[in-house]
Parts: sequence; C-alpha cells; structure tokens
Amino acid sequence: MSIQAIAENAVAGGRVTADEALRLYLDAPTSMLAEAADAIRARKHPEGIVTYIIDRNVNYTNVCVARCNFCAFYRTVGSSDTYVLAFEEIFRKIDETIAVGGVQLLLQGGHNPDLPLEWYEDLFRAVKRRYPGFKLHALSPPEVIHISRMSRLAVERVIERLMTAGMDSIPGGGAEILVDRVRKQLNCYSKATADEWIDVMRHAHRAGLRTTATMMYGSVDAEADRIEHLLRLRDLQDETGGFTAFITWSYQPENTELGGYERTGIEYLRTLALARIVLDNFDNLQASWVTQGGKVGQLSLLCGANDMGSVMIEENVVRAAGASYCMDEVEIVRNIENLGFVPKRRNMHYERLGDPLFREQDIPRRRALDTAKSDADPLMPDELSRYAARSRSARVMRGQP
Amino acid sequence: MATELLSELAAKVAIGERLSIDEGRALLEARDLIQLGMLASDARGRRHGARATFVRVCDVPLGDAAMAELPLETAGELRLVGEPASREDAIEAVRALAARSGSVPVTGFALQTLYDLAGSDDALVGLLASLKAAGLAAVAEASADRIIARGASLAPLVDARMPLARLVVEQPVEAAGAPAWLADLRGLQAESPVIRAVAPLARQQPGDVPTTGFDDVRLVALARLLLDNVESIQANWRRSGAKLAQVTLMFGVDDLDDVPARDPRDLGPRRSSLEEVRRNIRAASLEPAERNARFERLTR
Repeated sequence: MSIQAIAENAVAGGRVTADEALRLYLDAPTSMLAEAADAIRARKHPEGIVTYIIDRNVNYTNVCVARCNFCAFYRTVGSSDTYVLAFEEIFRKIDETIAVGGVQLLLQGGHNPDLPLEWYEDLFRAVKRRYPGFKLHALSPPEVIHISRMSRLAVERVIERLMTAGMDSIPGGGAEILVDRVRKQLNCYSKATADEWIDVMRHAHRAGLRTTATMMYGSVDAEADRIEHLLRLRDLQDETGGFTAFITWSYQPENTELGGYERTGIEYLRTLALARIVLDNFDNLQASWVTQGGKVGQLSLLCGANDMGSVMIEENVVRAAGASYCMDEVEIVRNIENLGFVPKRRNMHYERLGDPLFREQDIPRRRALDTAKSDADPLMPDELSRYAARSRSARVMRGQP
Repeated sequence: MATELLSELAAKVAIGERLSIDEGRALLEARDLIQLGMLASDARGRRHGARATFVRVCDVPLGDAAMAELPLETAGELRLVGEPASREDAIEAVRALAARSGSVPVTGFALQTLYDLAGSDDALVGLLASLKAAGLAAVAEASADRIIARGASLAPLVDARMPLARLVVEQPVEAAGAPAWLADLRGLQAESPVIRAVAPLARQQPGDVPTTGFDDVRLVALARLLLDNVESIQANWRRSGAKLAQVTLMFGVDDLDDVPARDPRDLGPRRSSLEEVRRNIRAASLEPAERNARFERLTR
C-alpha cells in the first residue's frame, strides 16, 4: 500500500499496522500527516470545539529514589534542597486554583521513601473534607508502584485505598517510552517496566478510574520505539477504554544527567499527527504548549490535537529541564479562536464545563507559571513527624529512632 | 469552493505565474493553512530547490568596531549595530571593522538611520558610496513600516549600487491588510530591485496580544506567494526561536538569519548553534547551506 493509501485508509477510519505507521512516520510529508490527522480530528470532533482545563500542576515532593537520567527535577534523599509540601501549602494552592476557576490538581511527585501510603491517604482525605467537589488527578503509575513496594501492598489494593481516600483519576506520567530496552537506557526500568506501567493503568481502569496516557519521545528512542509505545496504549484502550486522552512531548535535556538535545518543532508536530492516526480509539489528544511554546502549541490543533491542555498555573518539572512557557486562560482561548475553533472549559473526563471563565469573571492575567515552593515556606513541614521515615536523614530530621 | 480555488492557484504557482492581491485575499479567506503552506512551499522549492540557507551573525556595537574580538572563523556576517552620531562616525566604524574583518562581509545600519544622517536622497547616495568605499557590503536592514508609511523609495540604494540585506517589519501586519501590504512591497521592489530578503515576522509584539503561530506562518506563506520578485523570505533564528523558525521553513521561508556566530557558553558540539540550525533544517526535510552576508555559499 502506498503512503497516500495508508493515510487515506486511516482518515476513512481504518486501523494502521505497526509497519504502516512506521512508513508514515518516516516517509510521509509533514503536510500529508497533518492533513490526515486533522481530518481524523474533524471526524471525531465535528462541532469544531477545542477544550482546555483550568487546573494546577503540583509536585508534592522533589525527593526521588528513581534517579531517571532524563529528569532535571528530582533531588536525592538527604540533599539540601529537597522539599515536601505541607498540607496547608497544598490547600493554599487549591484556594488559588479555585479562585481562577480551577477544578482539579494534577498532583505528582518524586518517589520519596519517607512518605508512606498513610501520608497520601491523609492528604487526599483532608483535601476532600475541605474541598468536596475539587478533583485529584493524582499519582502516575510509577508513583503507585513505588507506594505499592513501600507499603508491601498489591497495586490493586493501593489503588483501592487511594480511591477511598479521594483519588479521582490517574495521570499518565512516567510512561516515557513503553519499551524496556529504552527504559533501561533511561534508568527508569526499575521504577516501572513497560508491563508494570500498563498493568497499573489496567487495574485503575478496572477499578473504575479514568486515566490519561503520555509519551516522552526524543531521548534515546528510535521511531520504531514510539510506534511500539503507541500500539501498547492502543491495545490497552481496546481492552479497557479507560484512557480519556493522550499527551506527547519532547524530551527536555537542560540540566539532566542524560543531556543531549531537544527534538525540533516539526518533529513534534509529526509525532502528534502520527499519534492521532495510530490511536484510533482515543478521543482526545492534547497540545503540549508547555514544551513547544504557544505558537507551535497552537499549530498542534491543525495536526490532530483537539485540546489545549491545561492552564497549569504552576509547573516545576519541565521548567527544571529548560522550558518555561506560560499561557493563561485568555491566551489559550485567543489561540483557539484565532484558528476558528470554539473554546470550551472541561474537566478530566472531558465533560464540558462551559465557556471561557474570564469572560464571566474578572480574573487577573498570569504572565508566568508559579513554582512549588515559595521562599517563606519550610522545605520540610513539621507534620511529617507523624509519619514513619525510612531514610536515615529523614529519621534524624523527624526525631525518629 | 476553497478546494477549487486552491487547485487553481496551485496551477498558477506551479508555472510561476504571478498571484494578484485578490487571490491573496482569497487565500486568506480560505483559512486552509496546510494547503496554503503547501503552495508556499512549492513556490519556495521552485526558487531554491531543497536548500535552506542560514547565516551566522556577529553583532558588533559601533563603539567596539576597532577593538571587539571577532569570531572570524565562524561568522558569515559582521553586523554593526547602534546609531552613529554623524556621517563620519558611521564611515569610521565601517572602516575600522572592515580593516579587521578578513573575508567576512561587514554590514550595518538601518536605512532610516542613514537617511537621517544624510538629510536627503541625494546626500544619502553620497553617504552610501562613502560607506561602500569604507568596506560596507550591504545596509543591514530597512523598515518596511517606515518606508511604506512615508512613501519613501529605495532608489538611493540602487544609485549607490548598495545591496539591502533585508527588509524588516516592526509592527505586526493585520491579516486582512496583508495582501495589499505585500503588494506595496512588491511594487517597492519592482521600482528599486535591491531587496535581497524580506523578513515578514514583526520584531515587536504587543504584550497583551502577540501574534499567534497561525498568524505568523500564514503571513510567511502569503509573503512567499505574493513577493515573487524577492529572492528570499527570511525568518530570524534568535527572535523567532528555533521551533517557530523551523516551522516557517514549511511555509515558504528559505533563509534563516541571525544564527549566533558565538554561543553564549560551551554547549558541546551537538548542541552548538551551528548543529542546532543544521538539525532543524534537516528535520524540515531541507538541506542546510551556510552563506555569508553576500549570500555566497560557505563551505566549512
């Protein structure tokens, strides 16, 4: 089959094979990929609506034992600049999020050996007591696995307890590339193998949680690895239907142990378009303006994306690796409308919540994303002393034997 | 309707036929960015093949012309920046820099600055001749906004046989007015064919309402399609950033200006500006070719 025929088949609703996907990715002109992806987007979303969510990316700790070599955010146990957010700090962030119309936190963090399952449960319960309608899109699969290992409980049981405490959905972080050879090179195989990542999502979907799926490409992976990643997601989606959306972004090399260079804007648009073609059972694809900038982020909407992602308010992980773009709601909406689409706010389940909020309320403009810690806040809150630490440095700090 | 129009215009572009302002307006109204990009890309390809050029530039402040450390091994253009206080200062700065520039061409000044120093078209011709004699290879830029607003002419450059490296744009061009504005530029070039390149993306961005990616690449594509008497459509590597600059290559840009001749710190060979620009051009399915300020191909 010719490349043109493969693309036409996909536009008509046909499923592409791994070989066909690789041929498209390697050989199809970018305009052909974009046209096909845009046609599929238009078929799935014929009303011309582009959605976005107002939420906040909060990283509750930067302590991490995983030591992925592509990450610029983590700090090792005992480092001088480690932090854990206090519950009160998280409440304050939620207050600020609600004030600008936010509906959830995207809560992720390092694999901190000194935060037991009970800390997460207490946090989630406290959030739900104080903000009953507010959603917690929390803990990527590797974090769930980390908690499972720490607590010596099965993943299913950990998910069940976290759900009982208030976890509403699971973000698709930590997927990187779901190919174990690549994961070993990125030093993230031990935090979660490809199968383990998939299994957490399978358990979550079976438990009734909806989740997202992600792909970080452009580190040590080859094109065929990205195809394999997409097919693994497509297979699980066939099985469970639990993914609400897919988000891809390019590896950000600044300040990382792995180093190297970032993939280009056109490579991003091609990867996004290919994802739209391959992931025929995903309804929603997000634009990663936080890594690509607002301009290429906007052009993503012509390459298969139907969602501008999150207003975000705060971001720490990508910023640590060199990217520092900011788009508030006004800017996101302006970019959507500039392309002739209709902007709608949504929640994590992609239920539409309404028109742009800044047109109904006076919301201050935001020129930069916040960071996790303000100078006034302690790096390690006193309340941690209630929880048993595992590392020697944390035990000393908490006065535990 | 839009498809028919685009097919019709594609046929015209394929044989190099000129597009009218009305056809430019129709392309705007069609809002089919991908098709517009393909048209512009075809127009670029007919003129430049699969090659995209870039130039590594070292900005030299006027006051440092006689003493600045010059990256002669890497620069393709030494660009004097700043406002000279007098004709003599301008000529002296060029002479001082040209004396140390080796084979690297020296450019400098905005045309308006030189006009202000000269005071009249005739005097400007004389000043340009003096600058050329001192070693100026090209006037670095002229502002399209100012030239069109004042109904000014580029004739003094023709008279002095002085190339204009690029026509730049200060303020964003409103989309609806873009075809007519580009037609004005086309007329300007027809009268005085000295413009080697047009850089259509505005240098200044309104803080609250910056141009969008769509605005930018659509304007670039229209510029390529309507400015059929201008050799190069240019994007600025530093101002636009690598990602947008690269994407403009899909919409008719054939030349990347202002790649740093010196990296701010040692980034290692794979992350140097040179490798980054080459990598971005190749990822746009084009072949990178380094040039100097005279648009001569460099082999390094």
